[in-house]
Amino acid sequence: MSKPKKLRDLRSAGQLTPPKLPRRPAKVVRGPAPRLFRVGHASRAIRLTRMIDSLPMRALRRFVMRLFANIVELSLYTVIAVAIGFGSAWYMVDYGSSLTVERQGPWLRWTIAGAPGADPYTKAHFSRAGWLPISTVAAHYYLAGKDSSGDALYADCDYTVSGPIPSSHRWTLAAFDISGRTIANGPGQPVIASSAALPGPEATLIVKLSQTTSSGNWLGLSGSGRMQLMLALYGRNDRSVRATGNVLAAPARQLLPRIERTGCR
Amino acid sequence: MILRIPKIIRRQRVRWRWLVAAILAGLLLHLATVFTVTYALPRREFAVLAPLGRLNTMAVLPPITADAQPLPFMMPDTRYAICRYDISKSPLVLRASFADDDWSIALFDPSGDNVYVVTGADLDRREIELLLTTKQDGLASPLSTSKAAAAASVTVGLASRTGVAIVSAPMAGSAFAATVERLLLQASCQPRNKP
Repeated sequence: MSKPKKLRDLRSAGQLTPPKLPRRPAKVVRGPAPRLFRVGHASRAIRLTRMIDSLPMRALRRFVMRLFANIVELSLYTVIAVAIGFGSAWYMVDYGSSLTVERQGPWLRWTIAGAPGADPYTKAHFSRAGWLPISTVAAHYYLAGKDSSGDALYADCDYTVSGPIPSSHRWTLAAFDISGRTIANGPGQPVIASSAALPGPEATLIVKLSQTTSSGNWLGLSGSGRMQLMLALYGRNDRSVRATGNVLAAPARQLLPRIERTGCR
Repeated sequence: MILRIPKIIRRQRVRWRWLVAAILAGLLLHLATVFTVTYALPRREFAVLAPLGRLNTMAVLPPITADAQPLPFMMPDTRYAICRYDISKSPLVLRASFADDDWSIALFDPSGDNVYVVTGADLDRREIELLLTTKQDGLASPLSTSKAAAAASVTVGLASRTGVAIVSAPMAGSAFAATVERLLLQASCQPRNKP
Protein backbone atom coordinates (compact mmCIF):
# COMPACT_ATOMS: atom_id res chain seq x y z
CA MET A 1 0.00 0.00 0.00
CA SER A 2 1.52 3.22 -1.16
CA LYS A 3 1.99 5.97 1.31
CA PRO A 4 -0.37 8.84 0.65
CA LYS A 5 1.35 11.87 -0.77
CA LYS A 6 1.26 15.11 0.96
CA LEU A 7 -0.81 17.86 -0.59
CA ARG A 8 2.24 20.04 -0.79
CA ASP A 9 3.95 17.47 -2.98
CA LEU A 10 0.95 17.16 -5.24
CA ARG A 11 0.73 20.97 -5.59
CA SER A 12 4.39 21.23 -6.44
CA ALA A 13 4.03 18.42 -9.03
CA GLY A 14 1.24 20.32 -10.75
CA GLN A 15 -1.29 17.62 -10.12
CA LEU A 16 -3.49 19.71 -7.89
CA THR A 17 -4.33 22.78 -9.88
CA PRO A 18 -7.62 24.47 -9.27
CA PRO A 19 -9.99 24.03 -12.16
CA LYS A 20 -10.52 27.04 -14.36
CA LEU A 21 -14.00 28.26 -13.98
CA PRO A 22 -15.89 29.64 -16.93
CA ARG A 23 -17.00 33.18 -16.33
CA ARG A 24 -20.66 33.62 -16.87
CA PRO A 25 -22.27 36.98 -17.47
CA ALA A 26 -24.18 38.23 -14.43
CA LYS A 27 -27.83 37.53 -14.70
CA VAL A 28 -30.42 40.06 -13.71
CA VAL A 29 -32.57 38.14 -11.33
CA ARG A 30 -36.17 39.16 -11.21
CA GLY A 31 -38.72 37.90 -8.81
CA PRO A 32 -37.83 36.12 -5.59
CA ALA A 33 -34.18 35.77 -4.61
CA PRO A 34 -32.56 32.54 -5.82
CA ARG A 35 -32.02 29.81 -3.35
CA LEU A 36 -28.48 29.88 -2.13
CA PHE A 37 -27.62 26.24 -2.29
CA ARG A 38 -28.85 25.68 -5.79
CA VAL A 39 -25.64 27.22 -7.04
CA GLY A 40 -23.37 24.38 -7.68
CA HIS A 41 -20.14 26.19 -8.12
CA ALA A 42 -17.77 26.47 -5.16
CA SER A 43 -16.42 29.98 -5.79
CA ARG A 44 -19.88 31.42 -6.19
CA ALA A 45 -20.88 29.73 -2.97
CA ILE A 46 -17.93 31.32 -1.27
CA ARG A 47 -18.82 34.72 -2.62
CA LEU A 48 -22.42 34.36 -1.56
CA THR A 49 -21.36 33.17 1.85
CA ARG A 50 -19.22 36.26 2.27
CA MET A 51 -22.09 38.41 1.16
CA ILE A 52 -24.40 36.70 3.60
CA ASP A 53 -21.82 37.20 6.30
CA SER A 54 -21.65 40.89 5.54
CA LEU A 55 -25.41 41.33 5.11
CA PRO A 56 -26.42 41.71 8.77
CA MET A 57 -23.68 44.26 9.36
CA ARG A 58 -24.65 46.27 6.33
CA ALA A 59 -28.31 46.18 7.23
CA LEU A 60 -27.54 47.06 10.82
CA ARG A 61 -25.32 49.91 9.73
CA ARG A 62 -27.99 51.15 7.38
CA PHE A 63 -30.62 50.87 10.09
CA VAL A 64 -28.45 52.80 12.54
CA MET A 65 -27.71 55.49 9.99
CA ARG A 66 -31.36 55.82 9.10
CA LEU A 67 -32.29 55.98 12.78
CA PHE A 68 -29.63 58.62 13.35
CA ALA A 69 -30.86 60.62 10.38
CA ASN A 70 -34.41 60.46 11.67
CA ILE A 71 -33.32 61.55 15.14
CA VAL A 72 -31.38 64.47 13.65
CA GLU A 73 -34.34 65.41 11.54
CA LEU A 74 -36.76 65.12 14.42
CA SER A 75 -34.45 67.24 16.57
CA LEU A 76 -34.33 69.86 13.84
CA TYR A 77 -38.11 70.07 13.64
CA THR A 78 -38.31 70.13 17.44
CA VAL A 79 -35.87 73.04 17.49
CA ILE A 80 -38.02 74.80 14.89
CA ALA A 81 -41.15 74.24 17.03
CA VAL A 82 -39.46 75.44 20.23
CA ALA A 83 -37.94 78.46 18.50
CA ILE A 84 -41.29 79.45 17.01
CA GLY A 85 -43.15 78.85 20.29
CA PHE A 86 -40.83 80.38 22.85
CA GLY A 87 -39.28 82.97 20.53
CA SER A 88 -42.58 84.44 19.40
CA ALA A 89 -44.01 84.31 22.94
CA TRP A 90 -40.95 86.06 24.35
CA TYR A 91 -41.06 88.74 21.65
CA MET A 92 -44.80 89.37 21.98
CA VAL A 93 -44.61 89.52 25.79
CA ASP A 94 -41.44 91.59 26.10
CA TYR A 95 -41.69 93.92 23.11
CA GLY A 96 -45.34 93.70 22.14
CA SER A 97 -46.90 94.17 18.74
CA SER A 98 -48.94 96.88 17.10
CA LEU A 99 -52.00 95.25 18.67
CA THR A 100 -50.76 95.75 22.21
CA VAL A 101 -48.23 98.56 22.10
CA GLU A 102 -48.25 102.15 20.92
CA ARG A 103 -44.86 103.36 19.67
CA GLN A 104 -43.95 106.96 19.10
CA GLY A 105 -40.31 107.75 18.45
CA PRO A 106 -38.36 106.11 21.26
CA TRP A 107 -41.43 105.91 23.49
CA LEU A 108 -43.45 102.78 23.98
CA ARG A 109 -46.72 102.34 25.80
CA TRP A 110 -48.74 99.21 26.51
CA THR A 111 -52.14 100.48 25.48
CA ILE A 112 -54.26 98.46 27.93
CA ALA A 113 -51.84 98.27 30.83
CA GLY A 114 -53.40 97.29 34.13
CA ALA A 115 -56.93 97.03 32.80
CA PRO A 116 -59.03 93.99 33.75
CA GLY A 117 -59.95 93.54 30.08
CA ALA A 118 -56.34 93.47 28.95
CA ASP A 119 -55.17 90.84 26.49
CA PRO A 120 -53.01 87.91 27.68
CA TYR A 121 -49.84 89.44 26.20
CA THR A 122 -50.26 92.65 28.18
CA LYS A 123 -51.06 90.69 31.33
CA ALA A 124 -48.06 88.41 30.78
CA HIS A 125 -45.80 91.42 30.19
CA PHE A 126 -46.68 93.04 33.49
CA SER A 127 -46.65 89.71 35.29
CA ARG A 128 -43.09 89.13 34.10
CA ALA A 129 -42.10 92.68 34.92
CA GLY A 130 -43.59 92.39 38.42
CA TRP A 131 -45.20 95.79 38.04
CA LEU A 132 -48.68 96.91 39.14
CA PRO A 133 -49.59 99.76 36.79
CA ILE A 134 -52.67 101.88 37.33
CA SER A 135 -55.26 101.24 34.65
CA THR A 136 -55.21 103.28 31.46
CA VAL A 137 -58.38 105.09 32.56
CA ALA A 138 -56.22 107.07 34.99
CA ALA A 139 -52.61 106.84 33.82
CA HIS A 140 -50.55 106.30 30.73
CA TYR A 141 -46.97 105.07 31.09
CA TYR A 142 -44.51 105.70 28.26
CA LEU A 143 -41.15 103.97 28.48
CA ALA A 144 -38.01 104.70 26.45
CA GLY A 145 -34.85 102.60 26.50
CA LYS A 146 -33.31 104.44 23.54
CA ASP A 147 -32.90 108.04 22.47
CA SER A 148 -34.49 109.53 19.36
CA SER A 149 -31.48 108.43 17.29
CA GLY A 150 -32.02 104.84 18.31
CA ASP A 151 -29.01 104.58 20.65
CA ALA A 152 -29.40 102.99 24.06
CA LEU A 153 -29.74 105.31 27.05
CA TYR A 154 -26.86 105.28 29.56
CA ALA A 155 -26.84 106.76 33.03
CA ASP A 156 -23.37 108.27 32.51
CA CYS A 157 -24.42 110.27 29.44
CA ASP A 158 -26.16 113.63 29.21
CA TYR A 159 -29.49 114.00 27.45
CA THR A 160 -32.03 116.65 26.64
CA VAL A 161 -35.71 115.79 26.60
CA SER A 162 -37.61 118.42 24.66
CA GLY A 163 -41.02 118.75 23.10
CA PRO A 164 -44.52 119.96 23.76
CA ILE A 165 -45.67 119.97 27.36
CA PRO A 166 -47.79 116.84 27.88
CA SER A 167 -51.48 117.70 27.88
CA SER A 168 -52.27 115.56 30.91
CA HIS A 169 -53.49 116.77 34.27
CA ARG A 170 -50.13 115.78 35.75
CA TRP A 171 -46.98 114.22 34.35
CA THR A 172 -43.78 112.78 35.79
CA LEU A 173 -40.50 112.01 34.04
CA ALA A 174 -38.26 109.57 35.89
CA ALA A 175 -35.11 107.55 35.23
CA PHE A 176 -34.90 103.86 36.09
CA ASP A 177 -32.36 101.18 35.49
CA ILE A 178 -33.10 98.45 33.00
CA SER A 179 -35.01 96.36 35.57
CA GLY A 180 -37.24 99.24 36.67
CA ARG A 181 -35.33 100.14 39.83
CA THR A 182 -35.00 103.86 40.40
CA ILE A 183 -31.56 105.33 39.82
CA ALA A 184 -29.78 106.16 43.04
CA ASN A 185 -29.91 109.77 44.13
CA GLY A 186 -26.81 111.58 42.94
CA PRO A 187 -26.59 115.34 43.20
CA GLY A 188 -30.29 115.48 42.38
CA GLN A 189 -33.42 113.33 42.26
CA PRO A 190 -33.87 111.13 39.19
CA VAL A 191 -37.39 112.47 38.70
CA ILE A 192 -39.11 115.65 37.66
CA ALA A 193 -42.84 116.29 37.82
CA SER A 194 -45.16 118.80 36.18
CA SER A 195 -45.57 120.60 39.51
CA ALA A 196 -41.86 121.45 39.58
CA ALA A 197 -41.12 121.91 35.88
CA LEU A 198 -40.71 125.32 34.33
CA PRO A 199 -42.39 125.77 30.95
CA GLY A 200 -40.12 126.74 28.08
CA PRO A 201 -40.89 129.15 25.24
CA GLU A 202 -44.11 128.47 23.29
CA ALA A 203 -45.39 125.93 25.79
CA THR A 204 -42.48 123.60 25.27
CA LEU A 205 -40.76 121.45 27.81
CA ILE A 206 -36.98 121.15 28.04
CA VAL A 207 -35.48 118.84 30.66
CA LYS A 208 -31.74 118.23 30.97
CA LEU A 209 -30.59 114.85 32.24
CA SER A 210 -27.05 114.68 33.56
CA GLN A 211 -24.92 113.72 36.52
CA THR A 212 -23.86 117.35 37.05
CA THR A 213 -26.20 120.09 38.15
CA SER A 214 -27.76 122.12 35.43
CA SER A 215 -29.92 125.22 35.22
CA GLY A 216 -33.60 124.99 34.29
CA ASN A 217 -35.42 121.70 34.46
CA TRP A 218 -32.88 119.14 35.54
CA LEU A 219 -33.17 115.44 36.24
CA GLY A 220 -30.18 114.08 38.15
CA LEU A 221 -28.54 110.87 36.98
CA SER A 222 -25.96 108.76 38.77
CA GLY A 223 -24.02 105.56 38.27
CA SER A 224 -23.43 103.92 34.93
CA GLY A 225 -24.98 101.32 32.67
CA ARG A 226 -28.17 101.15 30.67
CA MET A 227 -31.19 103.05 31.88
CA GLN A 228 -34.72 103.80 30.75
CA LEU A 229 -36.96 106.81 31.05
CA MET A 230 -40.57 106.74 32.04
CA LEU A 231 -42.99 109.50 31.20
CA ALA A 232 -46.12 108.91 33.27
CA LEU A 233 -49.21 110.91 32.37
CA TYR A 234 -51.95 110.98 34.97
CA GLY A 235 -55.60 111.88 34.64
CA ARG A 236 -55.32 112.20 30.93
CA ASN A 237 -58.78 110.96 30.24
CA ASP A 238 -61.62 113.28 30.93
CA ARG A 239 -64.51 112.38 33.17
CA SER A 240 -66.74 111.32 30.31
CA VAL A 241 -64.29 108.54 29.48
CA ARG A 242 -64.07 107.54 33.12
CA ALA A 243 -67.83 107.50 33.43
CA THR A 244 -68.15 104.97 30.64
CA GLY A 245 -65.65 102.71 32.36
CA ASN A 246 -64.46 101.82 28.90
CA VAL A 247 -60.82 101.02 29.41
CA LEU A 248 -60.32 100.55 25.69
CA ALA A 249 -61.39 104.09 24.85
CA ALA A 250 -58.53 105.58 22.88
CA PRO A 251 -57.77 109.16 23.81
CA ALA A 252 -56.26 111.63 21.39
CA ARG A 253 -52.70 110.87 20.39
CA GLN A 254 -50.23 112.54 22.70
CA LEU A 255 -47.24 114.33 21.18
CA LEU A 256 -44.23 113.11 23.10
CA PRO A 257 -40.88 114.83 23.59
CA ARG A 258 -37.64 113.90 21.81
CA ILE A 259 -34.67 112.48 23.66
CA GLU A 260 -31.31 113.68 22.39
CA ARG A 261 -27.86 112.76 23.64
CA THR A 262 -25.70 115.79 24.31
CA GLY A 263 -22.57 114.05 25.57
CA CYS A 264 -21.03 111.13 27.38
CA ARG A 265 -18.22 110.84 29.84
CA MET B 1 -11.29 68.57 11.10
CA ILE B 2 -13.99 68.64 8.49
CA LEU B 3 -17.25 67.14 9.62
CA ARG B 4 -18.33 64.57 7.08
CA ILE B 5 -22.08 64.45 6.84
CA PRO B 6 -23.25 60.92 6.07
CA LYS B 7 -24.78 60.46 2.67
CA ILE B 8 -28.02 59.23 4.15
CA ILE B 9 -28.43 62.56 5.97
CA ARG B 10 -27.35 64.62 2.98
CA ARG B 11 -29.97 62.92 0.93
CA GLN B 12 -32.75 63.91 3.37
CA ARG B 13 -35.36 66.20 1.88
CA VAL B 14 -37.65 68.64 3.63
CA ARG B 15 -40.60 66.78 5.02
CA TRP B 16 -43.37 69.27 4.61
CA ARG B 17 -45.76 67.45 6.88
CA TRP B 18 -43.21 67.47 9.65
CA LEU B 19 -42.52 71.15 9.03
CA VAL B 20 -46.21 72.02 9.22
CA ALA B 21 -46.49 69.90 12.38
CA ALA B 22 -43.49 71.74 13.86
CA ILE B 23 -45.09 75.13 13.11
CA LEU B 24 -48.38 74.03 14.66
CA ALA B 25 -46.53 72.67 17.70
CA GLY B 26 -44.72 76.00 17.93
CA LEU B 27 -48.01 77.89 17.93
CA LEU B 28 -49.39 75.62 20.65
CA LEU B 29 -46.22 76.15 22.67
CA HIS B 30 -46.60 79.91 22.16
CA LEU B 31 -50.16 79.89 23.49
CA ALA B 32 -49.25 77.58 26.37
CA THR B 33 -46.34 79.83 27.38
CA VAL B 34 -48.35 83.05 27.25
CA PHE B 35 -51.32 81.60 29.10
CA THR B 36 -49.10 79.97 31.71
CA VAL B 37 -47.29 83.23 32.42
CA THR B 38 -50.59 85.13 32.44
CA TYR B 39 -52.89 82.89 34.40
CA ALA B 40 -51.06 79.95 35.99
CA LEU B 41 -48.03 81.57 37.56
CA PRO B 42 -48.70 83.51 40.77
CA ARG B 43 -47.88 87.23 40.64
CA ARG B 44 -44.71 87.79 42.59
CA GLU B 45 -45.70 91.34 43.53
CA PHE B 46 -47.99 89.99 46.25
CA ALA B 47 -45.22 87.85 47.71
CA VAL B 48 -42.98 90.93 47.73
CA LEU B 49 -45.63 93.09 49.41
CA ALA B 50 -46.65 90.47 51.99
CA PRO B 51 -43.85 91.14 54.51
CA LEU B 52 -44.39 94.91 54.32
CA GLY B 53 -47.66 94.93 56.22
CA ARG B 54 -50.20 92.76 57.96
CA LEU B 55 -53.39 91.63 56.27
CA ASN B 56 -56.24 94.18 56.35
CA THR B 57 -53.94 96.83 57.77
CA MET B 58 -52.60 99.94 56.11
CA ALA B 59 -48.81 100.14 55.97
CA VAL B 60 -46.93 103.24 54.89
CA LEU B 61 -43.89 102.40 52.79
CA PRO B 62 -40.63 104.24 53.34
CA PRO B 63 -39.61 106.82 50.69
CA ILE B 64 -38.70 105.15 47.43
CA THR B 65 -34.97 104.89 46.85
CA ALA B 66 -32.80 102.54 44.83
CA ASP B 67 -32.36 100.38 47.94
CA ALA B 68 -35.94 100.55 49.17
CA GLN B 69 -38.22 99.86 46.26
CA PRO B 70 -40.47 96.82 46.58
CA LEU B 71 -41.88 96.96 43.05
CA PRO B 72 -40.40 98.22 39.79
CA PHE B 73 -41.26 101.66 38.38
CA MET B 74 -42.34 103.17 41.69
CA MET B 75 -41.87 106.92 41.46
CA PRO B 76 -39.21 108.35 43.76
CA ASP B 77 -41.23 111.55 44.22
CA THR B 78 -44.27 109.63 45.43
CA ARG B 79 -45.03 108.10 48.83
CA TYR B 80 -47.05 104.91 48.96
CA ALA B 81 -49.22 103.12 51.49
CA ILE B 82 -50.46 99.60 50.93
CA CYS B 83 -53.20 97.43 52.36
CA ARG B 84 -53.34 93.73 51.54
CA TYR B 85 -56.97 92.87 51.95
CA ASP B 86 -59.04 89.74 52.36
CA ILE B 87 -62.79 90.30 52.33
CA SER B 88 -63.85 86.68 52.53
CA LYS B 89 -64.93 87.02 56.17
CA SER B 90 -66.24 90.57 56.23
CA PRO B 91 -66.30 93.69 54.06
CA LEU B 92 -63.42 96.09 54.46
CA VAL B 93 -63.49 99.83 55.00
CA LEU B 94 -60.66 101.82 53.50
CA ARG B 95 -60.39 105.47 54.54
CA ALA B 96 -57.95 108.08 53.29
CA SER B 97 -57.61 111.84 53.13
CA PHE B 98 -56.20 113.20 49.91
CA ALA B 99 -53.94 116.24 50.02
CA ASP B 100 -54.61 117.17 46.41
CA ASP B 101 -56.07 116.04 43.09
CA ASP B 102 -53.03 113.89 42.28
CA TRP B 103 -53.50 111.38 45.07
CA SER B 104 -55.09 108.09 44.17
CA ILE B 105 -56.26 104.77 45.55
CA ALA B 106 -55.92 101.78 43.25
CA LEU B 107 -57.17 98.26 43.95
CA PHE B 108 -55.41 95.31 42.36
CA ASP B 109 -56.70 91.75 42.26
CA PRO B 110 -54.37 88.73 42.59
CA SER B 111 -53.90 88.60 38.83
CA GLY B 112 -52.50 92.14 38.90
CA ASP B 113 -55.50 93.81 37.29
CA ASN B 114 -56.29 97.31 38.45
CA VAL B 115 -59.97 96.70 39.23
CA TYR B 116 -60.71 100.09 40.72
CA VAL B 117 -59.03 103.47 40.81
CA VAL B 118 -60.08 106.82 42.18
CA THR B 119 -58.06 110.03 42.16
CA GLY B 120 -58.37 113.25 44.06
CA ALA B 121 -59.60 114.95 40.90
CA ASP B 122 -62.64 112.62 40.93
CA LEU B 123 -63.70 113.66 44.41
CA ASP B 124 -65.71 116.65 45.51
CA ARG B 125 -64.08 116.49 48.93
CA ARG B 126 -60.70 115.36 50.23
CA GLU B 127 -61.83 112.42 52.35
CA ILE B 128 -62.82 109.15 50.83
CA GLU B 129 -64.22 105.97 52.30
CA LEU B 130 -64.28 102.81 50.23
CA LEU B 131 -66.34 99.83 51.32
CA LEU B 132 -64.83 96.77 49.71
CA THR B 133 -67.27 93.90 49.41
CA THR B 134 -67.63 90.85 47.26
CA LYS B 135 -69.85 91.16 44.22
CA GLN B 136 -72.43 88.91 45.86
CA ASP B 137 -72.60 91.10 48.95
CA GLY B 138 -72.67 94.53 47.50
CA LEU B 139 -72.98 96.64 44.44
CA ALA B 140 -70.96 95.83 41.41
CA SER B 141 -68.74 98.73 40.56
CA PRO B 142 -66.08 97.59 38.17
CA LEU B 143 -64.35 100.91 37.70
CA SER B 144 -64.37 104.35 39.11
CA THR B 145 -67.19 106.52 37.83
CA SER B 146 -67.41 110.23 38.33
CA LYS B 147 -70.86 109.95 39.86
CA ALA B 148 -69.87 107.30 42.35
CA ALA B 149 -66.51 108.77 43.14
CA ALA B 150 -67.93 112.20 43.81
CA ALA B 151 -69.56 110.81 46.92
CA ALA B 152 -67.43 110.51 50.01
CA SER B 153 -68.37 106.86 50.53
CA VAL B 154 -68.19 104.39 47.70
CA THR B 155 -69.11 100.72 47.75
CA VAL B 156 -66.91 98.63 45.53
CA GLY B 157 -68.04 95.13 44.63
CA LEU B 158 -65.02 92.99 43.91
CA ALA B 159 -64.92 89.72 42.01
CA SER B 160 -61.86 88.59 43.91
CA ARG B 161 -61.83 88.27 47.69
CA THR B 162 -58.16 89.13 48.05
CA GLY B 163 -55.94 91.82 46.61
CA VAL B 164 -53.99 94.89 47.47
CA ALA B 165 -54.92 98.55 47.74
CA ILE B 166 -52.21 101.08 46.97
CA VAL B 167 -52.52 104.70 48.02
CA SER B 168 -50.23 106.88 45.92
CA ALA B 169 -49.29 110.30 47.22
CA PRO B 170 -47.14 112.36 44.88
CA MET B 171 -45.17 115.12 46.58
CA ALA B 172 -44.82 118.49 44.90
CA GLY B 173 -41.56 118.95 46.79
CA SER B 174 -39.69 117.98 49.92
CA ALA B 175 -41.53 120.74 51.80
CA PHE B 176 -44.66 118.63 51.61
CA ALA B 177 -43.02 115.44 52.92
CA ALA B 178 -44.24 115.83 56.50
CA THR B 179 -47.83 116.58 55.46
CA VAL B 180 -47.90 113.69 53.05
CA GLU B 181 -46.54 111.27 55.64
CA ARG B 182 -49.04 112.45 58.25
CA LEU B 183 -51.98 111.97 55.88
CA LEU B 184 -50.75 108.54 54.85
CA LEU B 185 -50.39 107.49 58.48
CA GLN B 186 -54.01 108.55 59.05
CA ALA B 187 -55.22 106.33 56.23
CA SER B 188 -56.81 103.13 57.48
CA CYS B 189 -57.94 99.78 56.21
CA GLN B 190 -59.95 97.51 58.52
CA PRO B 191 -62.88 95.07 58.51
CA ARG B 192 -66.26 96.79 58.77
CA ASN B 193 -67.43 94.92 61.87
CA LYS B 194 -64.29 95.93 63.75
CA PRO B 195 -64.99 98.74 66.25
